[in-house]
Amino acid sequence: MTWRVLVADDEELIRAGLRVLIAADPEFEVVGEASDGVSALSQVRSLKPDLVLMDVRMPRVDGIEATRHLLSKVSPPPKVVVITTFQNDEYVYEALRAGASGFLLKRARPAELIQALKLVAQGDSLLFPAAIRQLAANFGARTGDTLSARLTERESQVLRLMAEGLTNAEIAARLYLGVETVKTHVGGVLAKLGARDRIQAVIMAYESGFLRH
Amino acid sequence: MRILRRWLYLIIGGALLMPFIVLVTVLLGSNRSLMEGVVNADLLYFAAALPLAAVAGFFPLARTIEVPMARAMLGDRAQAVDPAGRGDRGRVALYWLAHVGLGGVVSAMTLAIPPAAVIMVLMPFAADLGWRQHPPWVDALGGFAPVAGIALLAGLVLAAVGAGEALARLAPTLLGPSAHDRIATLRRTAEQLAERNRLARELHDSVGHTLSVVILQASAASAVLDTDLEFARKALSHIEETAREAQSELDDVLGMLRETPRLRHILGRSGLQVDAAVAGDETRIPPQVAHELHQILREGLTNIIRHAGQVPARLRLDIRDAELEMTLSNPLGRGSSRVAGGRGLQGIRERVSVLRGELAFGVPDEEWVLKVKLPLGGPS
Repeated sequence: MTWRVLVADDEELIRAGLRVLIAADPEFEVVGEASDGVSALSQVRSLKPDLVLMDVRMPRVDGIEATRHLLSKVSPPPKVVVITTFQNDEYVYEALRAGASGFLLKRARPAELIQALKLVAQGDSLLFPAAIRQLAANFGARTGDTLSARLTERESQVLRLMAEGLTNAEIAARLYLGVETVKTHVGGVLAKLGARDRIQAVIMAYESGFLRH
Repeated sequence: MRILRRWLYLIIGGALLMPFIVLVTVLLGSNRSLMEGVVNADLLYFAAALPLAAVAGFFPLARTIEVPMARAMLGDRAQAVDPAGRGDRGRVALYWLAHVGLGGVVSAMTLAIPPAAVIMVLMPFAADLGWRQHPPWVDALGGFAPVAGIALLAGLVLAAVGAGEALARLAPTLLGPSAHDRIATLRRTAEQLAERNRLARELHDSVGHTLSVVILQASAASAVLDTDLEFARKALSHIEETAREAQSELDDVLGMLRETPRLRHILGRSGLQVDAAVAGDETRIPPQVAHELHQILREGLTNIIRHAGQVPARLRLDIRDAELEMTLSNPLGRGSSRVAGGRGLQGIRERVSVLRGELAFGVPDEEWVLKVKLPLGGPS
């Protein structure tokens, strides 16, 4: 089975480059291209891709708005990976807050690009711990939410390790727990915070002051 | 060393008070009936001179004099005072008063105490030195005179150190920026920040974006080089074109970095309402010509404000193949029709002649017109 990908970017040459790179891997198929947010939304509805590669700055409806819309209005929603020229970009942060599964730099090597898309397609987040910490420090709001009061001791530990970019298996090894137990704790954290995925949970942890930048 | 510098600073304060002392001495001292029964006239003069000196402290010059002097001579704390800005007049006057007041006292002590102390210390040897007459207060001290003399000297040093320290502590608060200064600083910082953000955006949009295109096209081309030669060939030509564009955009952004105060910026800062029209490509102006042009415009706008006040002005900038022509005109203000002179106009003339341009000005029709032509080749 192949993963169906939609590429959304306002620059035709970027779309063409991405299309060729992604199509070169037998696991992926590029089913469509969109040059702005409006077209991305309508193509997602008609083509039902598994993955959307979304540029953040686009005319008409930008990538943040399109991501927000896709994830709340389309069922089942595709995974969204943000593609960006610069890592330290407020738009990237907003797209992650809106629920994107991660971001990729346009300068990423082809192998990294494919590897990242596979991870996301399988349901993982692209959580780059240092990048998220920096983004939250530069663009994060201060919610003043008191997370520690709502989380159990174990859940707090798990959230801290999630922010370090550890997988469930790694967290399990670190805390001498079973992977299933860790999954339960992660689920507990996401549910209590109302987070879609690990990235959103970590962002909330930074914004509430639960984690220091 | 610091003690001596501060001491000298206090003595300068005393010197600044002197003209006022002389003034009240002449005013009061010449009036015999007024001075009748006054026991210590010097103290009275000192007290009367202080309010006059305080009035002088309200002039802007007071801060201009005090800030560099305080920074240079008081050390540490006073060095934090920013010479820019106007400061708060009331606070500056208070500082001025403290400086000349304490300075006056310490100066008087510095003049009077050392000779007196020497006499007191030498009292035991008065007979050997052949001193026949001495002031009654020295006699009263008897054998304690040398000790009292040394105590007086110590008191002088203490007074100088204490007064210097007091002024050093007062300086940052009293000479520091006023609310108005702080706002001006904030506004400047905000303007610089906005300018930097604009440049960052410019770089992001131009160079950052085009490099992404180059990277992706190159990656894709090398991925399909064996299978899709046509794509690879096209990608190479896209890369070439895009890189070329990027370089030209980089040129523009760098030009902006070198020459940040662009036309609009200058117009915006002048506070005048200027109707501006630019014909031709502004980016074709070489950096040095642009720099001079901006200075000329700035001086022209300053002249308008100085001679005509807040009148609406008109700017025409015409960029042609080999030269540019700038025309700045404004309606004459009330009661002003000076045609030549002015330092501003002299400055403009010098700039124009360096660039081998032409300058014309005058009042052809109820309007002051300044016309500058500059060759675009730069100075030859």
